[in-house]
Amino acid sequence: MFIHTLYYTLKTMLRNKSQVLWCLAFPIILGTMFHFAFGDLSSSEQFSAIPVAVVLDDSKNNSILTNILDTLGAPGEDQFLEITYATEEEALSLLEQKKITGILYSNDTLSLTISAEMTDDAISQSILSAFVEQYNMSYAALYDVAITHPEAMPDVISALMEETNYLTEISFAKGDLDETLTYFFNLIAMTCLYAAMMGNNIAIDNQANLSNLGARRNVSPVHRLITIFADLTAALIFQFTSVSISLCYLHFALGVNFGSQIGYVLLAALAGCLTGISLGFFIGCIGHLNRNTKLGILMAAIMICCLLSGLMIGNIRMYVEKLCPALNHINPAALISDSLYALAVYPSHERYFTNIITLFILSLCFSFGGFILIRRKKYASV
Amino acid sequence: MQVFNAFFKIARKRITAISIYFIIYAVITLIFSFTASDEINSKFQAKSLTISITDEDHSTASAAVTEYLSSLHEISELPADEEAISDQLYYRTLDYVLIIPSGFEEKLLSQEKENLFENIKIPGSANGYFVDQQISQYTSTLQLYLAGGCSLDDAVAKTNTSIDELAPVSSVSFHDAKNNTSSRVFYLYQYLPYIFIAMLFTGLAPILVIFNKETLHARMCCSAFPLVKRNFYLSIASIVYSLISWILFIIFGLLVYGKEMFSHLSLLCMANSLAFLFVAVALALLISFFAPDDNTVNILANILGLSMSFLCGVFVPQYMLSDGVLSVGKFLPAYWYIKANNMLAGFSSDPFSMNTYYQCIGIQLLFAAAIFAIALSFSKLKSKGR
Repeated sequence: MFIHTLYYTLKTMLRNKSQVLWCLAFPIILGTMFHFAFGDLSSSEQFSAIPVAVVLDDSKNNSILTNILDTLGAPGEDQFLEITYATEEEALSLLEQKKITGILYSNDTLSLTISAEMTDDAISQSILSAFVEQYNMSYAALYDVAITHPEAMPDVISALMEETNYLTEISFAKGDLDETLTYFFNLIAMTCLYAAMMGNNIAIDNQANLSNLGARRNVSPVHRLITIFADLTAALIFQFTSVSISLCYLHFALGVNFGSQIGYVLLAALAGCLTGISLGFFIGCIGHLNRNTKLGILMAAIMICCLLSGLMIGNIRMYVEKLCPALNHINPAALISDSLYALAVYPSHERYFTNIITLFILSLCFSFGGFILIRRKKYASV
Repeated sequence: MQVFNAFFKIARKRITAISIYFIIYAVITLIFSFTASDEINSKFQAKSLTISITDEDHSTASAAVTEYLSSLHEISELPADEEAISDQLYYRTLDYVLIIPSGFEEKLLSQEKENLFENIKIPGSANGYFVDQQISQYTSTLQLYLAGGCSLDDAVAKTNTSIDELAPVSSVSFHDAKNNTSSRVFYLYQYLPYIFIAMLFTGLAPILVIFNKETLHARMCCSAFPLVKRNFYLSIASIVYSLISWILFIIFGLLVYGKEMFSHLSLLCMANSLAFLFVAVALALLISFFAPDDNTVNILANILGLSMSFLCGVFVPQYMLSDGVLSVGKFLPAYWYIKANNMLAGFSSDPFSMNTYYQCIGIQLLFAAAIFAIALSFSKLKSKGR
């Protein structure tokens, strides 16, 4: 009987063409969009030359300053500034049109003016102000030494001229630090959790007071556990296949880096689908609200889960970790995306398996809870 | 009028689901606008990052460097292990890790210029470069004073004085001072394209789907009630429905932000969001012809809502997107909504101009009209198809 029900439930699912189409289309279309939208995203964090205007005070000798500026503005790989020499009015109008990040004024010291309306590029403004500070501090040091220890002046000048390389970078080479991967991980998490829609349908199609199909099924002599178990298995097969297809598409066609352990990635997807289906089944079993209201509750829950695990704002997970760390350990979307992340970044599987086991426990609780809610229900009249 | 009434009768029947969607998207908006950073200040402040420092040298010099950096940045505990460090760097909640190895002071005093510090940062990021620069600047000034014959304590004192004496960065503001709206309000508007699409697709579209059900549609087609009139009333009902949602959202904003909602710029944003509302209604009308049931509507809401949001810069700022993506985005209405909103909030490099604002609103309305037209012609085709 199990096989029979499984076969026919699968058949009904496949016959529902729009369901098949959209279940598959959802991750594929969105994945493609993400791929194009994030293609160049990481590069925007990279440093590039900062455009500035320089207003010189003509009454003074500016040759030292212009020398330094010209060196820094020389085109090439290490170009630091993109310099325009201008009068004050020209510089201000450039700043208003947001063509430059700041204006450098040379008086006794160097000073910087920026626009209050340019908030999108705070880091360039900061770098620029650090440069101005550096210039002024060195200037002050030279001035001070020239007055207090004039004999040490040659040493100071040579110290100033010497190239410095104070910092050595340590890098964790094994991890991929591409932030955009989070969005793909969460997309997979959402696709898995969307299986909840099927779980919800299964729950409703097995309750006589909620659907005609449920009524017919309830009069049949088959044990309820068997039909429900078969239905859930069918949904799992269906959803897992569709998630696997989209995973393959993301990995092979779009080149999203899920790491080399495809088997583990698929296991995470399987655990995710199972959690999704059992979550939907559980919600579907509570009370006698109609199909659409339950769907509403489900979608709301899934949206919040995905939001908090980083589908829309990539690093929201860390805020959650600060405010309420327990949430990250029970939020199914966070668990799925974190397993994928752990696989891609860490060499050990400890964190991965903690997540997967939590997912299995969650699914067990949901399906068991759901079954408890609808078992032995009797209907006097439907 | 019957169609109009029938529409709201169905809406009333589905009120639980509709309110769930409304509440959930209101909550999401709230989470969005509160997690979004509040970085708009009229006064310039050098960007403060989150860094962590490990001092293995425990000397006067290393203490001076630590103190200098703590005055500029937020210092956080060093995460326990490498796993936690790379996590925090990955999610950008930690920008920089500085290690001052033992022997630092000796190297400093002997005027060594290489490998005084070790650091961990996101490779090649501007934030990392910024901290590097500050550390180098401080150290090199120290060494200048040391080369000039000062003692270490003197050098630290003089360097610190020269930092205190630095002229503050001046900032100019080009539009007048009435702009004192907090950026949080703009973040409320920032995410509305996604919220409107998701909310109207999940709340409004299922009602329209019922009208497009094959049997019901066929019965309506063979009645004496003309198709044009039916569509007219359906459109009006949809617009009324969405206006109610819009007003509720504005009231929700008022509850959260109070008077700020009525500042000059916020009112402009409000008008902008109204223009986008029409686009969302038109889209909901259009998809109601394709979607057979609620499940599909939900999937479609996310496909359209999320992809438009990501391509047009709702979640990821427009200035971070590549030119290629933006040129595709220009063919989507949300791009113009965000462009106007960014300009008003000062999130983008577009200078403020009313012409650009009107242009953005105009383009959105044109999009809405075009999508309406397509939806209506679809309905015509559908009724002819039988």
